[in-house]
Amino acid sequence: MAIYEGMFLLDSGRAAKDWEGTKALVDGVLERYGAKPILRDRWDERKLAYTIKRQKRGTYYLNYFDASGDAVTNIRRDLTLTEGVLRLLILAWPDDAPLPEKIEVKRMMTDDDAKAGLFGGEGRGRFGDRSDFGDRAPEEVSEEFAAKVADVDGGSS
Amino acid sequence: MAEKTDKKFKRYVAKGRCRFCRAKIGYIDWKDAQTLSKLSTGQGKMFSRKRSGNCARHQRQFKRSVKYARFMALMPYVAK
Repeated sequence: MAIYEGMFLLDSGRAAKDWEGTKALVDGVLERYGAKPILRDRWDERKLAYTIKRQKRGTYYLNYFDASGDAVTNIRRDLTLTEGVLRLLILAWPDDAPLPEKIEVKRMMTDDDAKAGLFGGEGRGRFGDRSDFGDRAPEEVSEEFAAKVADVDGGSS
Repeated sequence: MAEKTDKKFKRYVAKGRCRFCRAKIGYIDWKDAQTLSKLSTGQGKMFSRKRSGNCARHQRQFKRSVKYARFMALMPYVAK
């Protein structure tokens, strides 16, 4: 037996109408294969980065449970075929990492850490963190040069 | 003279370049897409070690985390 972290992406419309029923889809399968729940709750409801099964929004249901390897294989197979579960990810929880106390959307670093230079600002290291440069700024052209270009373009056309 | 030569060829090693080591984060949470996206370009590509400053261990963890986050639609594979 080992501890697993299961994240289940549920149909948002269905979850909004009947959260208990939608949650029971997952819980029922977990119980059927003898998984012992440790911690479980709704994690978040958010816009998806890309559409999955024509859904643009999804509700994430996070579940920490104790189960055997064989059970996880069966759980994965059954839930993949379950309607209402858009996607699932079950990962073995590392032994050295402490289990979270409650289900919440948590950031690894706070804004204070960011201010202290852990992300951006000071302390960027030798090479620095360069984010995406984005579009190139429009080049500044003198009026004289612009007029010349216009003349050439006018002549050629 | 020998001392001078040693100094000349002494490699520059920046201490504490990895932000996860500095913050003493042992396990990179793949659910924290906001933090992961800070180490990616606007297009959704991961930063290299040179660019992010991560140590080898945390860069491997970061790589895995981004892939999990993409699979669960927390992060895009390719942003528009």
